Amino acid sequence: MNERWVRLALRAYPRRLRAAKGAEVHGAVADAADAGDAAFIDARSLVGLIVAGWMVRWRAHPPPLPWVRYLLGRDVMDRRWHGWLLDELDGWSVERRGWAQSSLWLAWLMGLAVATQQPIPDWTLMFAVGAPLLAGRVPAMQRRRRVTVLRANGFDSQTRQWLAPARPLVPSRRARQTRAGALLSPLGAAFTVALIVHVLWWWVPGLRLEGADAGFVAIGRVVDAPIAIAGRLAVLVALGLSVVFATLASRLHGWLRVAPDVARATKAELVVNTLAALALAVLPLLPVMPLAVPLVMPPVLATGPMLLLLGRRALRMERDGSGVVLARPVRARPETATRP
Amino acid sequence: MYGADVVVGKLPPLSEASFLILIALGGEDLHGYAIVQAVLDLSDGRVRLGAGTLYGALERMSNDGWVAPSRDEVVEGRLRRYYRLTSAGRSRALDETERLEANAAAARGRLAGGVA
Repeated sequence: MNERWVRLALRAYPRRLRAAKGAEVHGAVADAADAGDAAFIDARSLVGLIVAGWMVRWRAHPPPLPWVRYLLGRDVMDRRWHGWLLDELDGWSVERRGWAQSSLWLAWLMGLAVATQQPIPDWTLMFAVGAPLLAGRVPAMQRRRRVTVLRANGFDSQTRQWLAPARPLVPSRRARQTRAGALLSPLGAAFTVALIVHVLWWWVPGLRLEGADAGFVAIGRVVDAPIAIAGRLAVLVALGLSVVFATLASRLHGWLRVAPDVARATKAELVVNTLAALALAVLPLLPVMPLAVPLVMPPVLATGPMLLLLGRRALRMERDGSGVVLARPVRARPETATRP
Repeated sequence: MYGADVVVGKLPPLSEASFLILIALGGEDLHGYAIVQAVLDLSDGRVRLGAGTLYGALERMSNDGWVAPSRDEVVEGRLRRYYRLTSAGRSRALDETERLEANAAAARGRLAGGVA
């Protein structure tokens, strides 16, 4: 068995172990070759090496629940799984997942296009513009955020060493609390107003705009332009706004943890972020896809008041001086301390 | 993978390869291929470890805290990582030895007595 097969078999090991383990195994294989011991790395041994590598991966992988939470965007992960997390951040699965997210996003939009009986060719433009944007942007944001959170938990990404004991949460500065409250309250108010407007618009006959039900047709009438061009432009604008809103939702991700303890913070974070991202991403598509209203209403209904409450609470706690703890990382490097 | 709080008497038996690797490291720190040769000697040529078995076992035992890398050496451009037996590993090897001795004694007594 030559070096190439050994190198291939070693790919079964996690990335962070491969470099160190690879040199060691190659050294042992060379020793065995010198001793004329072909059995040390025969086909059966290679299979054993692959199995051993996958067993290491299996043991290093977080259990299903923390893993799913991570995929949903949760940053705080028990330090037992930080080895896996580093492999994940260094590896190509982040980009792969970016493409998967992009594909899901497109599948969702295509599904809506089919459901609302819009002409499919109009959406191919969206594919061409949207996929690279989303596939490149989302993983980059996730990677940066997670590396920052790891650093905040005492991990130096330069030396890849632990500098301080891992902490589940990092107390934020007062400025961040104020910013969170100042941002969340107006946003929640805006969502709530949007909710009220939509309710009035769609369910009070006297206020309903003529032709709005017709989607693309309505846009064509308003701008007095060929429907196909107006439709494409509307889709492009909607896509651009969706990307902007999705980015905003991602930024919100870190500012929404305003509850004073870990459990409550993570629960609120999961619910609010999911709803906020969904509502923000789909909201701009409403004018061109009226049938999306029933899909958007539930998250909007929940998101507006929740953001409003969270923002008001953060501002109140800031004012009365009670301790608000945010899970956002500190920018400065943590103090050096002993760490195994 | 066994935690430290597991009752020693109830630990599952070690595989022969793992047991022999622990015994091989009992005398001195050894690198990968030297462990293979030591195991071959200890078993009178019966157990020949492949790379997969060796490094799979070393990985498991490192996780369990029974062995640990002691030093690295580069010889003729080859990395040799030496492993040492930890106190937990020594204790585990002794427990396994006692278990095997007890089994062997029971087997001898029973077979010598002609019990079917």
